[in-house]
Amino acid sequence: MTVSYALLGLLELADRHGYDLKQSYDRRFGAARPLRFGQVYRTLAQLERDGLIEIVGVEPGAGPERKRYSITAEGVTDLERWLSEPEDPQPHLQTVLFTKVVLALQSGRNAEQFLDTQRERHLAVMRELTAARRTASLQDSLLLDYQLFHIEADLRWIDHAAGRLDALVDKIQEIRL
Amino acid sequence: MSALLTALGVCKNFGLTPALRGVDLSVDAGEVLAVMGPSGSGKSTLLHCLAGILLPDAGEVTFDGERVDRMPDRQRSRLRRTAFGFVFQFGQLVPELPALENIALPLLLAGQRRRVAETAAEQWLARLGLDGLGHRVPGELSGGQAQRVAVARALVAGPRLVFADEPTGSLDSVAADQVMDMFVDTAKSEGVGIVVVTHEARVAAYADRTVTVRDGRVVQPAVVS
Amino acid sequence: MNFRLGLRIAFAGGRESLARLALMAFGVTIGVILLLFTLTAMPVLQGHVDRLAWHRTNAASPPTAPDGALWMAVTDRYAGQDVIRVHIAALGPRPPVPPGVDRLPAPGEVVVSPALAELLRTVPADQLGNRFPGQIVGTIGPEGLISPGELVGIVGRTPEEMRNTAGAYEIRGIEQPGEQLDLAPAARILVMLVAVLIVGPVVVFVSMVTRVGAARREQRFAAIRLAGATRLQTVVLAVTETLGAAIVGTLLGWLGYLATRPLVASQITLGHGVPIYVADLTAPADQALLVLVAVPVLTVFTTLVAMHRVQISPLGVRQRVRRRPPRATRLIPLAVGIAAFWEGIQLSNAQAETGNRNPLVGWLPVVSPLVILVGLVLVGPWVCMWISRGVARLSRRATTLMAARRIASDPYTAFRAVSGATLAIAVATIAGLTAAHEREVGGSNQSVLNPGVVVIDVRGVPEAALAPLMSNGVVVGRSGPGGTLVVGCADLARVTELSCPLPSSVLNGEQPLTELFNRNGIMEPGPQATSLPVVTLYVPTDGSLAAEERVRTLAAVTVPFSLTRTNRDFEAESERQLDRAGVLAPAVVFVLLVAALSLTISAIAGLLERRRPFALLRASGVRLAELRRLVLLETGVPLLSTSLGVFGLVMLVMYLVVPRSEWVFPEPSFLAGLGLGVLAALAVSSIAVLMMDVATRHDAVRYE
Repeated sequence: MTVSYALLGLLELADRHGYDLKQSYDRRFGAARPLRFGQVYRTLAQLERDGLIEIVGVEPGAGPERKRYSITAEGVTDLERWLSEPEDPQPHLQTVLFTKVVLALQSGRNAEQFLDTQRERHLAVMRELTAARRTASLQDSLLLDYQLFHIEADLRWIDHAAGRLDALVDKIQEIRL
Repeated sequence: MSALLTALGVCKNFGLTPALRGVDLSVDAGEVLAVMGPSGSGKSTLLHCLAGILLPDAGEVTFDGERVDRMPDRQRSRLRRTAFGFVFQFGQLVPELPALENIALPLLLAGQRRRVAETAAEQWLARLGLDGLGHRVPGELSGGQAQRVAVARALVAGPRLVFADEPTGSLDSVAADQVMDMFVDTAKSEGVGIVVVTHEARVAAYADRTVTVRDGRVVQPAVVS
Repeated sequence: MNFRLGLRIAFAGGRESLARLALMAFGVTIGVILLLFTLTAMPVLQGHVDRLAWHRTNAASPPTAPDGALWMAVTDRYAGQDVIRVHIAALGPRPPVPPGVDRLPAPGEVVVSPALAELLRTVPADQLGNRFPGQIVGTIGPEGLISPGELVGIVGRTPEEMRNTAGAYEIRGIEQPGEQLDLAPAARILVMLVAVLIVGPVVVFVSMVTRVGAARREQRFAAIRLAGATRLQTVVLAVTETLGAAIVGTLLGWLGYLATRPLVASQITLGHGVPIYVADLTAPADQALLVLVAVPVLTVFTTLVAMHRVQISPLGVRQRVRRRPPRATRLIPLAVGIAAFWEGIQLSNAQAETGNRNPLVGWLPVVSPLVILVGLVLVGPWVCMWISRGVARLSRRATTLMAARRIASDPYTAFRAVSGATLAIAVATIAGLTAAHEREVGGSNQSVLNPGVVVIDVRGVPEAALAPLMSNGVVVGRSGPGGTLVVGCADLARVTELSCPLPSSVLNGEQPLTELFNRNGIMEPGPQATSLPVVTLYVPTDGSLAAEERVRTLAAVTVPFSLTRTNRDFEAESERQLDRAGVLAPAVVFVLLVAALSLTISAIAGLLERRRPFALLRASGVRLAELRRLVLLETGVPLLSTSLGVFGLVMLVMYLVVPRSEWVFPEPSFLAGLGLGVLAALAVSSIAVLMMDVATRHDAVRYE
């Protein structure tokens, strides 16, 4: 989903070939996870079918045929709608941690130990990200900041949970009974 | 690498309330160590004991092979003045002194000539991105600028270890990052160690190592393979 | 919101706010006491004039009784003390009677003041008692005396005796009080100076006290606003707090005034060497009431002004205006004052030369010192700012730099703390210079009498009546032409320190020797000298008090109207003159004390304001001694620099306006006293230095 809108956004700046698009995407968004060519062409085909982009020329050359893509009016409208829509927070990580804590408490395992270990892991990642950020460009560091704040949020939850484990044990054991 | 500062079984009570119940800790030369913990965990008290501001009721604090906890007050004061630097959360700058003179203060107190001290302070202003702000008094600086002045003041006299107690506690995240970036950068380039007490993970993440204090003890995490 | 809630919140602040309120009440107490005593100045002076009235009785006094009386009054002396001796003879059954006695003493009767009665009991009659021939039949009551210790005796005589006594005249009545007090301009200046001197520092002190803990109080008000109080309600709260303390302070001040009146009265002598009546030391009721009402109102007003300077919003306290640094325009009033003073001196000199009266001469010398004082207070912050800026630029040590920057950042507050001391020193310096000047000028007619010599002015009594006084060794002075004194130089040298030949200034009367009752110069006796009338007798004695007083008593018996002088009188007189100049000394000491309290308060407030940076500096290894040095510098630099500045300025002005020949330097003892006073003020304020340790202990490093 995000990838298709990223490509739409790039096409809005200028008409491009598929190969150019992948390079631009990787430079701007994909440092950690580069796009595969297949994914690029699959996504472009999907966007063309939806009428959000169109082919404005085909050039002969070495390798695959070089189609030139351009964004349509509908494409611009769709991109604007997506940009203006807030995203729902994604609670997937907390869900995992929560499940682990509840499971540990329920089974009488040491949840505090688990949380301390988890904190160490979080802090270690934060240290890595912070170190990376301090040498990164402003654009990259913004992305790293995003990750740092998210991990920090997790950490806060971990600290909060650790502070209330005793109360939590009683509640969970009650539920089991 | 042998430890520059070590604490062994440090205990400290305030009246009947125990603040520290046997803390073991070590800091290597040039290392950045973060001390984390919830409020009331005793982390500030630990910092004060490590820096010789407070004397522990029991246990040992050793700096560079010397027992800090056995030094008389005068000697500890001298140690703090010459070997340590301090960054506090707020309010350590003398309100009437312009930034430049605030930075030069430790050098002046050490008996350096005014011109020498101010030239050195001038360089620190530049290193911490405070060019042109030297004539402003603390009240005319933003929180982040004031903390960078505080960092400069802590480093100007060439300490071996800087103690920082919630150095970004009253700053927003952008200013906090800026302060910590410059703090750690300059300390690292000078080979100065830092002990930073904080409750913020993002500040602790600047450290080489983090210890967590809870209920007056250092939390020992399980060894993760 | 009402006053009861205000009071509850005021006292809910715990020990700290209680201490602040107590301090404020104390400040108001001191202020009220000082103000009330200031109000007594005029009644004391007026009372003195009224009590003196009957001593001024003369032939022209309006009638107060159907019959007349014969009256002869003379100021006699005993051991340097004035003794008023009145001889009186009734000319009918209902003669005028002086205050303090029921009836005139009959011939052969004497009434005396209690102090004289006491003296008569202890001194042999031939030294004092014989001057009051007759039987003591009563004492003179307080209404007839200037002070409880005054020596007065009224001797009853027959009209025949009085008619044969030189100097007696007929009166129709006793001079009554009611003459309006007409203070000399100099005295008027003095009273105004003292008033400014006392009131100014007291107001400063009270405002200083309200500053202590002001920050804490304002934060509390901000919290109260956050809880929903309106701005007006916080104002009501502040006023309630202040008013409570002010009312308590005012009441205590009134009680303190009542309690210390006898003590203060015992210190006021008005140049007579003996203290005044306590009853005379009373502030007029209407004025006292005004003070008792005005002081609480004033403190409330001060609070309102202070509250206006900061904006207390629910989110905290914000300084409304950053005060602008003082500007050079503050110099203008001082310059105007000095110019006016100089002009006043010039005009009065011109008037003395030409005799043309100039109305400006009347008020310029009165107004210009006041303008100078006001100018000093205005210029103080400006001077403080420039001095501290200079010190900041030049200082090498960290503490000096910090102190200088502190003063430069708020020169108004820095100067306010020392303004009281500045005023006190200005007035003290003026007083000291005046005293030194008087001594210098008075030095030329210091007594040249040999010790033990009694000079008798026979006041026109014929030589034949003087026989009892003509013992061996008496030197006789006769009246020569043109009011000169005819006496042999060798004789004169025997009874005085003068030596022959006499200096021309003495001979031609340029340097009158008042103690010799010398009028217009001295002439060597010619062949017909013995036919000239006798004017003065110089009687040598062995120099003991008893011998001198015996001669004096003999003179009083022989010629009741005669005046006598001895060396001892001059010594006592100059001592009393010193006493009069010394009226200011207690006031200056008191004001310095109040100034020292202001200084202390401001030092403590300054310390509490910066408790945290100081504690953190100490945690960073800065020595306690250095922090203490800092506080000492912060109070010492403004105090010493303004003290020296004011002293120098007053000296400069004096030298500018006084001709070079009259330049005087204050006595070393005066300088030492002034220096000690300043040091004492500094010492009192160093209480703040002692507080430094406690204020910067470890707990101040911890976060609240």
